[in-house]
Amino acid sequence: MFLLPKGKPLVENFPIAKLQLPEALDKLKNGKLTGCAIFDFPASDCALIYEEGRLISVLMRRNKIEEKDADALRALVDQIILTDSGSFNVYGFTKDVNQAVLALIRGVKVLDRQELKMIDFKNLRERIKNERMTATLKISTDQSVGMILYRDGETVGFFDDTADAIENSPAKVQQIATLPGATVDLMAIRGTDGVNQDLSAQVNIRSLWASAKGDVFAAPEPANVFQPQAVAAPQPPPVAANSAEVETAIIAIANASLGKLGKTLVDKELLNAGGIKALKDESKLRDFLNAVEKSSILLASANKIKEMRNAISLEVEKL
Amino acid sequence: MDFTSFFQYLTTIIPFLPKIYNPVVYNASDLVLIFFWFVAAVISFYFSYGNARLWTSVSIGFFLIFWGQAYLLNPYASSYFRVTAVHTIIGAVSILLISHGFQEYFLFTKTLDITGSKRTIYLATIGAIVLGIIFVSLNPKPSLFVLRNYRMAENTVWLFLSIVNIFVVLKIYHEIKGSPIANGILSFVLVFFFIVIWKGSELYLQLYQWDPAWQTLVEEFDFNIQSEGIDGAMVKIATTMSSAGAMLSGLSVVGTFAYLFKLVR
Repeated sequence: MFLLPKGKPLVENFPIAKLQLPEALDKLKNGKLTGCAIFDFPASDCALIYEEGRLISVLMRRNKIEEKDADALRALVDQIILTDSGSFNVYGFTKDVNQAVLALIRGVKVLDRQELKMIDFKNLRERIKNERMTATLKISTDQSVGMILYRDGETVGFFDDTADAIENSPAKVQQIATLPGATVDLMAIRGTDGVNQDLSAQVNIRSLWASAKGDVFAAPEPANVFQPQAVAAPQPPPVAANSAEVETAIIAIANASLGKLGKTLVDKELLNAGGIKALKDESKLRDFLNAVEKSSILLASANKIKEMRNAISLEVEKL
Repeated sequence: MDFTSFFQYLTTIIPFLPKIYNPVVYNASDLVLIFFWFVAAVISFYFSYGNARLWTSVSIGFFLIFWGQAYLLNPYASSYFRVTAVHTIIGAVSILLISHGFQEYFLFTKTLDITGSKRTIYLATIGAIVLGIIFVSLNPKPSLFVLRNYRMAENTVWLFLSIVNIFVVLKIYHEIKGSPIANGILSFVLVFFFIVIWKGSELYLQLYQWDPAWQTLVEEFDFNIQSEGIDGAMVKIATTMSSAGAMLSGLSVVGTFAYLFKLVR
């Protein structure tokens, strides 16, 4: 299992069996996430790194084999379809921490399991600073792992395997460094390594998902991978874009009518309904609207709820 | 305001009513206060009609406050000690119901689930009152001293639950901030603040035996006890705060429900 720093928890322990991957990824994109989404399967893990809603890196690790980016996304789709257990977590980071986490996932290994007592730690820290490295320094023993996160040579946080969040104090990591047999890994990225790409525009997750759902034992459909020169103006299929737009519009309507709980309420009821596309079914749409209305009476006036209901119905018609 | 002749006339047209021997005199402010609680009870009941069950808890709670206040206008109120004790228990049940309603609201803001039925609330309220009646019936007839203890216990429950409710309402407001109803819910902070003033100052007077009920007992039983400090400024301030708190809480409840009604219409 990956040990990645935990930021602000946005989704925790959501069962993968209930996850509609394209919808979930659309939400992360539309929500302009800066942070990571982690899929924790029984025998594999996948981490997706987002920067302001752009999917900048994917790493899939199974049976000690690592796959990256487009290949990792394809593997992730297969894994979700084939596995009915596991959990989904999303954590938000600051941009600085996010870059350090990106270094941890896809950075160049500057140091690889070096024994801590064999290196001049003070010199190493000076090197990170002088070379303005964006990096993660991982200190490991058999029992514990600690991390120091750097952005442009400056420390931006500390994390260890017992922490629930990124910390400002180095105390625990220093403690791990004093344990016998401690080793050091340093992963660093330079410049804007990989930061400008958006994998969600390059890999058509909806098409992968749809074909994988169609027959889980069939060979996966070839992914719609765009060539780099085509990245500038990717044109996703109209239906896929439409669903995401409709969902965003419904959330905006609920937000305007009910305040911040409107978004949470719509998210929750959409999950219960089975995703935005399920609303094409008239009875599911009716159930969805009734469920939203039932909770809304504690938040808004009857007229406002009626207006919201009508506006949502009109949006769903666009599906 | 002297209502003695009115009640004496009532006893002539309703023969089973016991005769009135003592004068029945009310303060105008008491009548206004009870009118406020009546309006609050009516609006809150109307508000709960067709709404979620947590408003049922809140509305029954406010109705029971009105009931408890109105009972004190009854000229026989001080003649039937067991009934008076039961009404004190009803007073405590009312704030429990209101607190339950707000806690359910807070739970809703966290889970967005509305569970449970209104019938459970009605049955639980009746059950709590019946238990109170059984408790009072099984014990010796309460004396004036015991009734005063009942009132102290009621005020204590009111004081602490009102403080808790202020925090719960603030937390609800934080969760639903931005929704049309948010400011209406926030107004309940004012209601509970005035209730804290009302019940808190009453409890303070009772703790130091400065309350009118204790003074009546001292006179009636010819005790040679002087409550130290009864002429002090603190007693006057607490007495004024108690009356003002009672009036303002009734007024703020009416205002809050009227405002909520406007927001959800």
